[in-house]
Amino acid sequence: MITVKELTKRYGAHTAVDALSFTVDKGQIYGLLGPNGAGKSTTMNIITGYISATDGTAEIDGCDIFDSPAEARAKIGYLPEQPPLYTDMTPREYLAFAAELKGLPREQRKAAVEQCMERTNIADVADRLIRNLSKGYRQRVGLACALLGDPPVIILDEPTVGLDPKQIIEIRELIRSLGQEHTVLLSSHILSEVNAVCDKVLIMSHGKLVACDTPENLTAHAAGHAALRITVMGTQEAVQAALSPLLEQGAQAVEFVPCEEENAVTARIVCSGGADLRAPAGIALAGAGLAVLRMDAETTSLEDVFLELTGDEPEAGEEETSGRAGEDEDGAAAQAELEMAGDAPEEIASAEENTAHAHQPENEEEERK
Amino acid sequence: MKAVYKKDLKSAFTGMIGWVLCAFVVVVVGLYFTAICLQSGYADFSLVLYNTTFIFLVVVPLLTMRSIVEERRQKTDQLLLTSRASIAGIVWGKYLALVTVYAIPLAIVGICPLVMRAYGSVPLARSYAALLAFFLMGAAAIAIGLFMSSLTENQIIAAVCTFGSLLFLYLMPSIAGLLSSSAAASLAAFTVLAALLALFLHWMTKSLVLPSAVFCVLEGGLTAVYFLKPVWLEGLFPKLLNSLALFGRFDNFVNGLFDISSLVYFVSVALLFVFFTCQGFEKRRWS
Repeated sequence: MITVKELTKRYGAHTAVDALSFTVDKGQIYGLLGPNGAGKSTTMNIITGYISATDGTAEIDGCDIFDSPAEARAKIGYLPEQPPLYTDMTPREYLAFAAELKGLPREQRKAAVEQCMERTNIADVADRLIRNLSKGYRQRVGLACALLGDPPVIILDEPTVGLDPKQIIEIRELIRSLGQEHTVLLSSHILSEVNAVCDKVLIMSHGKLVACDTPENLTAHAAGHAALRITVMGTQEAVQAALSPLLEQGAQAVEFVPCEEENAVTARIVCSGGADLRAPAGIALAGAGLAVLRMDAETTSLEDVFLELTGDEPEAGEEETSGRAGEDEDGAAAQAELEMAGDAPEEIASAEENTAHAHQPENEEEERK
Repeated sequence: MKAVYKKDLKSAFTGMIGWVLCAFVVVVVGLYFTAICLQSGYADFSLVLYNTTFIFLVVVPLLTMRSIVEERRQKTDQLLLTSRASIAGIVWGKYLALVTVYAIPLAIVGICPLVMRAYGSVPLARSYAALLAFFLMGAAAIAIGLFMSSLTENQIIAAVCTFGSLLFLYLMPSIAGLLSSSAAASLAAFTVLAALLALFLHWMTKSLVLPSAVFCVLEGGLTAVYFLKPVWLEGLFPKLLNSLALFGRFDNFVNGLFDISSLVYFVSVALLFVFFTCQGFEKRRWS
């Protein structure tokens, strides 16, 4: 329905949108995600014909936005970031003007305006000046304007900004109902909203598309390294022994991380392929007579995916290396603890109280000995 | 175009500005009509209009300052530009709405010659020819104001720029009269103009070759003319300034001359500045 090809927009030396290409299929709700300044609004402004592109083009339902702009624009209903309202008009007058501007036939205008006002629940403020309306109502008047004339493609730039929670739910329901007969492209930086409303998510960063998939696939893809964190009362050896059968049931590794509680250890079970090991782990530990104090599943949310994909590259690199360093440290600590435990079981408690760092030199010294 | 036209016309009269400007024009023309025609007994209505050309300096900036700046400030230009209406349609809609607001008081004062007719013989053709010229002159000034409104980001700046350019055009005949009409003075003035043109080209293209080449060609031509045919340059610059004097052209109509070239001139200025406004819109989209 919308095909964007190699779209580029440069402002002097600054590249707002960089060779962006994507396709939006008919009858689906697409969410355009990205941090501030990622180029979401610029992309929408280009697709709707408000500004031009430096390079590349886009097609709306087969109409090129630069070769046949009027036809392409007629197929789009657009709600910009700030609703384009004439504050000295009433919503009814405003929508009547918009209907005429969009070229609706005279005899259909009145009915179309009434229908849009009903859909967006603004009929009760239809004859008040827009100037005196609250932000939520203004947003809805803008949305009503985008719906006028039933365009096949609806583009909404942050449609729920400035609304109260009840209105947000109403607007989301409206958008979801629109998705049945229209193609909707909406931008947002509220992840739960995209998760709740959209069929597909496009994630942009620095003017480039970094991901395009369903929210489920995105999180599942990133969940490749999901893990289970269990705090168990008992010794590390006993836990290790109890959990080792899990390695045949889909666990990749069992590692121990520092634990805050006394007389307890925390094991981290890395699961592969999205296997759910909560029940087997619980049964295994119970079978060994070990009390489980706490169990958490480390799952990846859309938020993690978003942060991972849109992080600034140098920063992401740093995070990665520091993360690895942390893991190494944890690993070393766990190993140190294991060895300590092996050497002197009665010292476990005190060993756990101390930090891993304090023990590492000792450990190395022992190794040297 | 029709939708924008109706919207703008309506918004001029839902606010105060339309009513106030109409009242202002009617009151000023009415005062001069009373003084010149009714009290002094001149039957020629064009004299009244001749004495009231200064109202453009007040009316046009106030009328045009909101037009495009306001759309941009409220971001409603997004609605206009993303609708199926063309830029030319939008600009013409806005322009014609402004011209209509200005035409309403003129239609009212158009009754004046008919009032006098009831009491004696009145040169009706001359009066209405002058009124037509007065209308077109205002339409040209409004196009200039519309263009200024499309350039700036602020109503006040738009109004000041419009006022400044109209004042410059208003004073043009006097300025031209002050200048020496010798060939050397014209050469100097045109050299300055050529330099300004070169600077402008440099600013637009950021290159050095083209502006330098243009400046050299122009300057070479001017110098050649100065040495070979100095008569051509004599008084050329003041003549050029006079030909730009928008308001000076109205004098002919007062003298009873139906000057078609002036009417064409007014219409051309209007078309040119509406065209510039469209280009300004288009440029914003591309920059």
